[in-house]
Amino acid sequence: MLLTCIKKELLSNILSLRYGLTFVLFVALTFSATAVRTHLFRVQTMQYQEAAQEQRRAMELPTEFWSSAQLGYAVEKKPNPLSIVASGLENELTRSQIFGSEALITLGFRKLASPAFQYVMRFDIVLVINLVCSLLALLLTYDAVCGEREQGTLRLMLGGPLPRDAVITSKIAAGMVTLFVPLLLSWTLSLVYMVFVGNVQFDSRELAALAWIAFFSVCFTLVFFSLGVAVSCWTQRSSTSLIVCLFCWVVLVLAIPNLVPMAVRYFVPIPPESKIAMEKQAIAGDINRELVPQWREELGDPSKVTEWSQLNEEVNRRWQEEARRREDRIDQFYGERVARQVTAHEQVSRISPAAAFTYAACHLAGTGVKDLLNYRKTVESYQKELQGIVQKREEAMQAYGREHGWGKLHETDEGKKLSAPVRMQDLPDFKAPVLSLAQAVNDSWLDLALLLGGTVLLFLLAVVGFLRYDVK
Amino acid sequence: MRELIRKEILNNLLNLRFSLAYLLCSFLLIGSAAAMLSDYLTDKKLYETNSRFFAREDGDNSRGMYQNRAQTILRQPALLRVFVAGNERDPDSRADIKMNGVPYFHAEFRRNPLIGLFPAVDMVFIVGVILSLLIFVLTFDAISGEREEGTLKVLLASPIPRDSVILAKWLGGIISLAAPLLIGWLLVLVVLVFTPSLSVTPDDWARIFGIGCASVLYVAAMFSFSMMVSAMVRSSSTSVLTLLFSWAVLVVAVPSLSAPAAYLLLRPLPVQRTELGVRTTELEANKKLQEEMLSLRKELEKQVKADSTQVGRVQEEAEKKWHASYERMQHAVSEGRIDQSRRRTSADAGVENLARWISRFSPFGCFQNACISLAGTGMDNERAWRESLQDFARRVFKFGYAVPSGDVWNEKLDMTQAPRFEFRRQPFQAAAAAGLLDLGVLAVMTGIFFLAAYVRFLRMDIV
Repeated sequence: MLLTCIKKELLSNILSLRYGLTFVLFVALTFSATAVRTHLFRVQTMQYQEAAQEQRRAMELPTEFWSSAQLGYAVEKKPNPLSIVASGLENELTRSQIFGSEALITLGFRKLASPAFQYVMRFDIVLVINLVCSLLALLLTYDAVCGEREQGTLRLMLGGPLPRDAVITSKIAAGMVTLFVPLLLSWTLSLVYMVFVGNVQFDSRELAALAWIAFFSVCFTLVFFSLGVAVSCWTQRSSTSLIVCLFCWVVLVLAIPNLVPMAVRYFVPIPPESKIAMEKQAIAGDINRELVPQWREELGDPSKVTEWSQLNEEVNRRWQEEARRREDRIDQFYGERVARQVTAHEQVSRISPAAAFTYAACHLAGTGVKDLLNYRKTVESYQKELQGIVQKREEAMQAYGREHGWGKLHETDEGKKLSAPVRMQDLPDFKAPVLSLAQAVNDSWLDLALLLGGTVLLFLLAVVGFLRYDVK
Repeated sequence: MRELIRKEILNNLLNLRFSLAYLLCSFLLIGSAAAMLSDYLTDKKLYETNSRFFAREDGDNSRGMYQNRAQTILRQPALLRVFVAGNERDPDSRADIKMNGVPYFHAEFRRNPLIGLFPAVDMVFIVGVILSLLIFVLTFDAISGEREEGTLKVLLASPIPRDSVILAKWLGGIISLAAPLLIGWLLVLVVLVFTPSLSVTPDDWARIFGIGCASVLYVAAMFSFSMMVSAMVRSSSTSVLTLLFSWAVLVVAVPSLSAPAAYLLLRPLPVQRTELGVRTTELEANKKLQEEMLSLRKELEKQVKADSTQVGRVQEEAEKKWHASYERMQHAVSEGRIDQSRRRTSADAGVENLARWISRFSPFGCFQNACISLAGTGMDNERAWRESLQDFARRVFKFGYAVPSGDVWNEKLDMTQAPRFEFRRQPFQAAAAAGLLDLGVLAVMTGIFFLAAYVRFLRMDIV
């Protein structure tokens, strides 16, 4: 009996014009998002490969070490194929990091640098699911119960031998199946397009991540589906149900994710740039006042140094080391404050299913905020590695110049070797961090729990509402 | 006619779903404005604190230090971003200017990157995306609903001509949709006026007024579209579905796809090429300088060999020639880099321009473009910012490399003559002119949609 009921609900859903239009719309939107983003990805991959070759060629231009330092070295993250479905912070992640002769990293432009990309919505599958799929799920279900009551068919149905809980269960089960079909079809078509038309190559980790993102999208859609059914079971009129559903959609999908950052900024502030700059500036004065006299006293013993220039070099070396250590501590402190604000933002905004789904999808795709913070840490360690190499070379050149004369740097074989320009092969490979899928899934368990928990709660609400529903 | 309009307005305003929808919209408008305003005030305070720190002089006015010191320029937050975030949402807000050309943007490791994951819920979004959806949901049955209920037959059986009926519906609908929107706007403006530490210039007021007018025109366009669909289809359920389909395409898909489509069509200069160009400019100029210095050294050695008593004079001459060559080199580097930067700006502007043209197929695209132009938070502003930085870099170069009277490194500079960074946003007239095309297209769309509804209604068979 229940199966017959489910079959009836399924048929009435599938054969309705509303469902047909929704199906076509959703598939068309996800397909067009995938098509455009696939081509964007291909262009960016090509540009990445060309840029690597151009940099290699450019690094052949310097004729000695100082020119290499002047030219600098840029690293960038390879475009991520999963950014086609969840672009997230990809535009930030792929910015070049340019290491020059100075300690600071210069940040390159965003690859999609035109301001147009700042104010249009990032059109990928995750956005389509977030905005459109959730809305469509609500529009398919807002009158699941109250609409039938208005038409009079609900009274007829409940007049039969089927118990109320079976009626609502069949509605929910049939509704879920009808929603899954366009969702899974969209994912399949998108994957086929990416692989066969776009020639995008996914490894096994990426394919598994795609499957997980698709799973999360199903969980997300279920939340709004169950919300629509629940509202329908607690209202008497379709028009009221529609407005309440839209209100919930606006609050859960738009308001909460966007208003939370402003509140979080107020409660978990990050100190201003000037404070950081002031503290760093104060380091020089502090070291000069407190440590330099100590070092000079320690090193000034004639039995310990033979030349004043060597003493100065040693003091300078210690000064640089101490300054770097203190600056790192400041950077770490402020980095932790940023991480605190980000964590607070994430935790609070998770009450919105849209936020929970976006965080999970982007993290699984490797374009989320944790990936960005991780990437920045890797860049900072790489910067230290490069600085170490440069420093070693500088010290060796200085030592040679002092011993043999500066002119010999460009005359003897050993001198030429020391003052030779830095080529690409002399530098360590920059490896952007890739989180394992297991770790990414583990990090997203809270989002999954919230989505599934929300769904169960809303279903229960729907069932309770329907059991008490007055069909008169 | 007046009676008909009054009837339409009352019908709408007394409708529960209409009131709820508008309450929702007003709540969002005020909530968004309050949140964006608070965010703006926080950023403004940070900007003032940071500016004071970076503008102070450390007491060392020597030419050498000035030439090597980076000057930090901060981007002042724009007040109009409270209404239209545009590209002010997450700009590169701190640039260092040194002697040799383009600004370097810092690695912004100290900002919450999560804001980039969600669209900005500013006034453009609320009116353009949410309110348009609500308009469709509220008015999908403006004509088809009345036909289904049978009230249209009764109305048309009366002596009132059809064109009066449709005109009254249209005008009544626009007034009843625009009035609550304007009330929401007014409340937001009251909040602005009574916020302490906020100075709103007449230019800002003119822009806000322009954005308000654009909102009303957009509401008219979407309502006209809704009426057109309602007149063309027989049943309300078909009407609502068609409208929702149209909303997804016109409001979500077309504007969002405009930027990537423009990028793919134009294939602008890759960013990496600009960045490498900036870096190799100095390298090439330095190489040239070294060659010049080498030949200068050879020439001077010859002179000294020929007459050893002239060593002092030769050295002085060598120093002057070196300084002149170095200045030429730095100037070439500076100009070369500025040229690279200009090409980048031009490439970005090209993409934005084409994206705007593509998005003009959608009323929301036109509305967004117009608001961004009026608010000054689009490419025009970005271009002005980048050009201001480049102009400042040139003036810094000129000041730092003015002919020295004595010791090149230690000569003290008169800091009262030092260049100051100036950034002037586009005045309102220019902004309005930029937005005029989009407002014009929106007005034409409104006219076309209304005419289609009008003609269809006149020919409608209500049996």
